[in-house]
Amino acid sequence: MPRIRRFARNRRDEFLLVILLLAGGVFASLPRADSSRYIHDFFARANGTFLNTFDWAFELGDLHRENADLRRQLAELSLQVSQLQESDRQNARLRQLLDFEEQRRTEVLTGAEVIARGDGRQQFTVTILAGSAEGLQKNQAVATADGLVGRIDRVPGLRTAVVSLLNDPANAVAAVVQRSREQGIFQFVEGEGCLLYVLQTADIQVGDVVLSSGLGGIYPAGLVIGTVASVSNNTEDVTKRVVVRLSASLDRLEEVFILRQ
Amino acid sequence: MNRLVRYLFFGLSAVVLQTSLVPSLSIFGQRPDLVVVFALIVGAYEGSSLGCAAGFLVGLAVDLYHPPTMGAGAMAGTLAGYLGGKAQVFLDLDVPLNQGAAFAAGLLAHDAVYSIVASLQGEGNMLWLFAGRAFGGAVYTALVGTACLSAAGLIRGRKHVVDRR
Repeated sequence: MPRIRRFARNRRDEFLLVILLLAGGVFASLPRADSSRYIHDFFARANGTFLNTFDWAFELGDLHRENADLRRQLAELSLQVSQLQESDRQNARLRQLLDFEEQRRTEVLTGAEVIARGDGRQQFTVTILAGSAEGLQKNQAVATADGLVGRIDRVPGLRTAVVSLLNDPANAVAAVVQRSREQGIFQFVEGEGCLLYVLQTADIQVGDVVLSSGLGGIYPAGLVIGTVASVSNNTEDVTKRVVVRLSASLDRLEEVFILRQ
Repeated sequence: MNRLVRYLFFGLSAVVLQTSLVPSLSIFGQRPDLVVVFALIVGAYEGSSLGCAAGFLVGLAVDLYHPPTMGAGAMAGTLAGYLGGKAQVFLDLDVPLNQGAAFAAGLLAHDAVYSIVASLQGEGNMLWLFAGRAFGGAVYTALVGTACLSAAGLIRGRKHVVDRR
């Protein structure tokens, strides 16, 4: 025993080396303890945090570039906003100078469910579950998310109203072609939606979007009526025959919005 | 106490870096071993006893990260720390070639022990892996170790390792 003690004192480094190698050997021969999982998890988490920080450091360059791009875009957009605000103010001033009436704003008065079709006539009307209690009045425009569908024909009850659809030949909507600003009257003729009173010289192409022009006072301007399906250029006629396909599907109406100006 | 905290910090950093960053720094499959570098530097600065202890602890930490070879890293790290203490003269900052040789020798000894123990633990014939990788790894570790030793010298504010005694 004293010899070992002397060896440990004189050869401290080697003694510790042997002890620790033996300890390592013990660890090597131990069955895998479940408790080591926690230490493994600790290092795994530390690694994850370190790598994330490392990635973040590498991404800093990209972030700088992205930041510079966004700043440039922000500057451009700010300039555009400022120009638009200036145009808006100029527009208001010019309107005032010319004594223009302020353009009326359109808003959704209420939504209503379609509860019946037809009204003794053909399928030109639908009955909706909203009436005078909701503030509905004759000739208010009715639309869906797809586009214009008609107008309130009458309001017979507190909770019911009859909508005259666009396919009713008695309905006519002042319309404008979005692209070329050519104007006409949209009306159903012989079962087809047509843009009437369009001169042969008018610039209208298949696919053009037809909007309500706001003339007439019933339908607000800018509502989508449909798209041009065909244009016949018969030179013997004074006007073109322009067939328009409705955007809203009148056969499958379930819910509509009543618009108020 | 201050020194202990510093070594604890560097030891933990060596383990975390070894298991996270170092694999992505491999060149042709060769990678440095920061655990060996740490054990050798501690051994060089503090003597073989503390080098053994430091090598044992960081080796065990790596083993815990990879439980199938539990104990192998601890034994190999212990040997590296011991050799660090014995190679103090070689690790003198003035002669980078000597430092590199000491780090390379430390890594070869470490990997040899590790391969033997891991092979005995049923991890396959690690000796072939040792033969294929040890020399490239030794060169890489020598370069990294020399740089780390220079940095450690700058941190300590002392030029020579052997000046301590």
